[in-house]
Amino acid sequence: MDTVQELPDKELLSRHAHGDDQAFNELVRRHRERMWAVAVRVLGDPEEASDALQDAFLSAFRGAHRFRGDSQVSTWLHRIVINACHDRMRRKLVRPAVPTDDATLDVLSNERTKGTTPDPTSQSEAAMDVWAALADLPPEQRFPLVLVDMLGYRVDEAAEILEVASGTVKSRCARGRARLLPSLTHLRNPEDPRDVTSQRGGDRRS
Amino acid sequence: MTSHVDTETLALSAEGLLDEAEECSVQGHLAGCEQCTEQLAALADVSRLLGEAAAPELPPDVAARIEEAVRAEAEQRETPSSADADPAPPPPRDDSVVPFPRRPSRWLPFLVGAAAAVFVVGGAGAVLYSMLGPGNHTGRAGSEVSEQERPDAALSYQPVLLESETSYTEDELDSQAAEVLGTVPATDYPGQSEGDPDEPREAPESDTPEVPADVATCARELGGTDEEPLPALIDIATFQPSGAESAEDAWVMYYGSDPAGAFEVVVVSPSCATGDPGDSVLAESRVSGS
Repeated sequence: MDTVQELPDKELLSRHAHGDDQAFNELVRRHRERMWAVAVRVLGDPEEASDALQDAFLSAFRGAHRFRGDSQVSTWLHRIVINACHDRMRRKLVRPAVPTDDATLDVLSNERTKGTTPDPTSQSEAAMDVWAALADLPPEQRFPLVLVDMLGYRVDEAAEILEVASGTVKSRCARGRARLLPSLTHLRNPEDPRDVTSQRGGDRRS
Repeated sequence: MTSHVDTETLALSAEGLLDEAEECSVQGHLAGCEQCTEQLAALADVSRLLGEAAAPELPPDVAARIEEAVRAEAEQRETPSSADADPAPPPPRDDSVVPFPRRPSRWLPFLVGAAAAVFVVGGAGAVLYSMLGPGNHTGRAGSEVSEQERPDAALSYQPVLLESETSYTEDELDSQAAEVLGTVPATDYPGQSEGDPDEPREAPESDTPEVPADVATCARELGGTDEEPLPALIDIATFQPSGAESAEDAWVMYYGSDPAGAFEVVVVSPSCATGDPGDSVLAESRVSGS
């Protein structure tokens, strides 16, 4: 066990491919938080993100022998997670069923307020607006924006994960931001925060 | 005076993506226009707001669930009883994670036309994904489809994926395959004029359900005819060899480029993804399209 924890990702993946079950568990432990962060932002829905994450890890488990050694395991896992999310998004289109975005956002907002934030009310409100706006973005803009703007990946990292050119990541991000602008502009508070929230009849405490 | 710069152009400018002349004119305008300067600042704030939007942490129960799923998968995996009894573990292969390579074929226009749509075939209970013709697109924003930009990671060439719930049998394979082919509406077939292989480079062919990675591996390993090495349709179903007591899971690969022409039908077992693809072929046939 101790040794497993010291092995690099690639070695773990190779051991997994040769039947070492512990190796894959270690990979999951190492990467699950980060992969969750990607999935929950891409999908905007913790339930969907949970399913996508599980799909992704199982798919990685089965497809480990197809890992190309020329990229990082982490990059490869990101790709699988994004694919799994994309798959979920399509299936949602197939069955545009149950809960509306409101339910989704409630969950997110509840989760948020559990955290220790100085001003949960306005912050979660802002987050909800961001999630609602993101949900309207087409996937090809949402993916790079989640990686670059939300999670702070470098453009070249996002490009490698998404397997497109860096310029493509930049232009998709740019178009995505332009598209988000009208729905987020009320959240801006360039000078005085109070001005902005009061637009929404805010109940902001000073 | 020039009119205001639209937001998208401003955003592209901020990324340094405009050509020199455009950039020059944008900068010229910005120098004298407060409104556009303000808009540019607003765009930077969009990035900031995205970065600040918090999301829930990974819930412990989800982590536990995934661990459990992986454990179950590990138990299921045919671990050789001992390493030395194992003839050869699958060697690391030099292929991509992405299910299918982007590969223009005459089917592409068909797939492109089928994007973003869903079709449920009634009586048979068959779910036929992504098969609607023009005008039947679901309520997806048209602009999205027209963006013609998608991350390739999620989007390589996709065959049409069916779950027809057909219980294929060896004896009736031909007629069953023809029937399944018949469920593909003829209107969705390519215009037959030409399948310009260059045009749909970033076409939104991706709204078909993702082909599961193991199915994709199998399809690719199998290959097909020289002209069409990847199946045009894949039906995830069951197959019962003659003389067998029961049906087993099977993937039915349809190879062909001409909807009205002949299709090679290859029935494989899911072991295809893990073992020798050649050994997993359960049956083969050749049928005519609709």
